Amino acid sequence: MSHQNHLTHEQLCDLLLANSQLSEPQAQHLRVCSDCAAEYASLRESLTSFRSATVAWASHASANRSWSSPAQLISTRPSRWSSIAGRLSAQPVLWASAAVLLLAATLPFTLHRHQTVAVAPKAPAQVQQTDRVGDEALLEEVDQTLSSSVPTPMEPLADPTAGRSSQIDSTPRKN
Amino acid sequence: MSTKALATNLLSDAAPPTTVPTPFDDIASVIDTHRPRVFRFLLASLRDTDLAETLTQETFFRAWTSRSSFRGDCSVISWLTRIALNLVRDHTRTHRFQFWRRVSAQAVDATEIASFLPHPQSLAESRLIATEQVSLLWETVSELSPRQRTIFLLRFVEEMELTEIASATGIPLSTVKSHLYRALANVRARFDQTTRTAL
Repeated sequence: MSHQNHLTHEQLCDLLLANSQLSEPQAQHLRVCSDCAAEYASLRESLTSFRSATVAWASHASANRSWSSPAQLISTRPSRWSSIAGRLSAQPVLWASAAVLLLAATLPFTLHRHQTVAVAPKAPAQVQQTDRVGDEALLEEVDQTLSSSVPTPMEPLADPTAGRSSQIDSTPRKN
Repeated sequence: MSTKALATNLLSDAAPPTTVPTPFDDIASVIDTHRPRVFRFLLASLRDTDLAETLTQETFFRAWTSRSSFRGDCSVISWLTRIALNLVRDHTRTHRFQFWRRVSAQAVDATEIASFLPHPQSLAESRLIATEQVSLLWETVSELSPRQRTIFLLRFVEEMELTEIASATGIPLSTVKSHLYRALANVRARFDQTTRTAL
């Protein structure tokens, strides 16, 4: 590996992933190539610092938690949502927002239901009144028809010449 | 077959199956040994102390209840990591929009994590550089894909071997390496970008 050809990304990663001994060609390159050596050192240092900070932070956080004892842990199932619920209960703004949203969502349905309830009784009453009048008229007509001695279709036809016969008879025929 | 032999056979058939002892039978010892590591991994993955605590306890509870399925074909920490990973996956599936994390008062930012950097006797300048590097890495890790982030944390925080990561995640070794290459490419790109901006 020459000085001019820098380490590829994979080679640099392999160096970072290597636990102990670096492979000889790559180690040799790092000795002669200051660019690659600087980049490798910077990445290695950053990763080490990142680990140190994360470990220290986790240790600090762990020390401040109230851990269940093993006996408690295996006797009661830990509730995943208990801590989240606890956090939410400490958020009055969230609860107020949720209440407003719920009210806004249910208001149109409530108004619509009131309108429907108010209009609904009127319509059947009108329909019933109209039907009752119609039924009574129909029954009356049927009664009249039945009470007549001769059915209407059987009544004698009126004489179409009834009005003119007297005039004809009264006029003397002359041949 | 003699009467005695028959009775022995009947007794052996009627006997309950013998349970193989596992390391999880002594759950107190397992918790004592591995809880800091499991909590640290969950905390670094979720960045939420309450949630990390809850999932840590659930990890050990599940390890206890399903201890009979532990065959010993991987290490205890690999098995625990696998359980923890499943819990994280379930959590992120059911909270796709990250609402709960947003409302969490426990969320941690880059400056807070960098403040935990131990540098008792270092110079102010090198301390400043290290703090900036940690902040950059913290932000870059948060932007990785969930799988890349998991593998990155297992390698560079938990210092697990690549074969161990493959065993815990169920991902082939070559894919684990590919994810690490990509994650480190993102880190390098972020560092380059910051250097160019500073110049």
